[in-house]
Amino acid sequence: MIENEECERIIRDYYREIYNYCFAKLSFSKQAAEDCAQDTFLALHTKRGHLDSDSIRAWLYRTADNVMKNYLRRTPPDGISLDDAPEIPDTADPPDVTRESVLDVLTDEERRILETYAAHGYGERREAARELGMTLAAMYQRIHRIKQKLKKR
Amino acid sequence: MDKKDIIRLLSSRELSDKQMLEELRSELDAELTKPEPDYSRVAELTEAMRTIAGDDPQRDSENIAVLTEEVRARSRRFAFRRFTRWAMTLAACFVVGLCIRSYETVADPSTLADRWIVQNGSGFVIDISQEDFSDADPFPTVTTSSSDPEEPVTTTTTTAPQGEITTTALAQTVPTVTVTTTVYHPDYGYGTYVSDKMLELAEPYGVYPDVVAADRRYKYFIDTELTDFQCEELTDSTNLYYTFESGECTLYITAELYKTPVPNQIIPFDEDTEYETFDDPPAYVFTEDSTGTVVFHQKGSSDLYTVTVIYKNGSHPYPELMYYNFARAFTSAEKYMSGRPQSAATEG
Repeated sequence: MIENEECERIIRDYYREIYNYCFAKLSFSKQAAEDCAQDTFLALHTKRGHLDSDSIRAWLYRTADNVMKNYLRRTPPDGISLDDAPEIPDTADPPDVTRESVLDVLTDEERRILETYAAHGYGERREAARELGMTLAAMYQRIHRIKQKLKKR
Repeated sequence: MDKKDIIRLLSSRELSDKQMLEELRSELDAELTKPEPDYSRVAELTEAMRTIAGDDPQRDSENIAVLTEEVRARSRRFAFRRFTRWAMTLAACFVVGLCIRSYETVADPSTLADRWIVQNGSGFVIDISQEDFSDADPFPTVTTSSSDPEEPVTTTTTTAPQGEITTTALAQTVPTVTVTTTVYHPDYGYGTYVSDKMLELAEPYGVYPDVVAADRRYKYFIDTELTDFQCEELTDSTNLYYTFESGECTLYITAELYKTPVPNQIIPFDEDTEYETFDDPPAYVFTEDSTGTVVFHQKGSSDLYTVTVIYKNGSHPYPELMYYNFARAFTSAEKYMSGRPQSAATEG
C-alpha cells in the first residue's frame, strides 16, 4: 500500500519523466501530455492501496500507455491540437553561421562533438556517441544546445 | 574540420531538429519493444526529445503543485464521504434522539437537565453541552496483582489518582486494574511514536491536537506503525484521522478541533452495547466484542477525541483500561513536547 505522503513524493520524483514520455508519444503536444500525465498520477492516487512502491516506475509507464491509448481513442492523432506543439524545423533552420567568426564561441569540446558527428554517417550515430563517451540522447542534446548557442550570436 | 565544414554541417538537414527527433524516436520505440524496457534509458531519450522539441520544463513545478493539491483534495473528499456515510446512516436515529429530547424537554424539562446521553435504536447521541458528571463513576481504586508474566513490575497501591498511571492488565486475562505511582517497566513502549506522528502530520494544517503523553507506556504502542492519515478541513472544524497498526491491535484516533462549541456527537453502536462514563477528563467508553471506543475531551475545550481500538486477538476491551490508556493519557501538544524524554527521540 502507498501512503498519501509517499504518493506525493512519487509525483514529485516521476512527474517530469512521465510527462516527457507522454510528450514524446503524443506528437509533442503539451496539452495532451499534461492531461495524460495528470490522469496517470490520479490513477496512482486512486489505486495506491493496492500498489507496491518498489515497482511503481514500471507501473507508471504502463498506466501512462493505457491513459494515452484512451486519450487517443477519444481524440484521434490528427485531432490532437498541435497549436501548442513547438515548431520543429524540417531543415536545419541553422543559426546564422555564414560569418565564420560566429564559430569562435564554440569550445574545443563542442567542435569535437560536431566533428565526431560529421565523421559518422547516418546509421552510425551511436558509434559517434560511443566515441564521445555519451549516449545518443546526450549527444543530440549537446548538438541542440550548440545550435541554440550559435543562434543567440 | 575547418570552419567551412562546420558551417556546412550546421546548415545541413542531417543536424535538423526533426532529424534528431526521428532518430531518438526510433531508439525509444526499439527500447519499448523489449520485454523489460530500461526505463532509465527511456527517461533519457524522452528528456532529450523534449529539449530538442523546445518544450519549457519550468511548467513542471507548477503542474506538480497543482497535481499534489488535487490529490490532497481527493483524499479530503474521500474522508468526508466516509464520515458523511457514517453520519447519514445514523441521521434517522439522530433525529429520533432529538425528538426524544425535544419531547422530554417540552413534557418535563427538569428530567433532561442531566441527560447528556441518549441511547436510541441504533446508537448514542452525546450532547456535551448538557454534561453533568455528578453521577459519573468515581475514579476507581482497586488493588490487584497481575499473573501475566509479561506484566511489568508493579507496586499495588490503592490510592486516589495521583501522579502517573501504568496500565498493566491485559484486556483478556486480567479483569482488574493495578494503579501504581512507580516507574514503568522498560520493556513497555512509549507513546512517543504515535504522538510524534500525530503532531508531524497535523503541523502542515496549523493545528496541534492533544496527544498521548510522552511517558505513557501502553503495550499496544509497541511496534506500532502509522498506516493511514486523512485531514478534513470543514467550515467549523479541522478533523484529523489517524490509523495505526500493530501486531496486537488496530488503533483509530480522530481529533476534531472545533472553532465553535462542540456539537452533538453520534456514536453508532447497538442497543446492548455497554458504555460507561468517566470524569477528568470527561469520557464516554463504549465496548462491543473486541472493539472499544472512547470519546473524550478536556473540560472547557472545543477539541473532541475519539479513539477506537480493535483487538486482533478478539479480546474484549475493559472500559477502565480504555479510559486510562487513552482519555487519561492525552495531554496538550505543548506539554507533550516539554515532557518528551530525549531518549525517546530516536524511538518509534
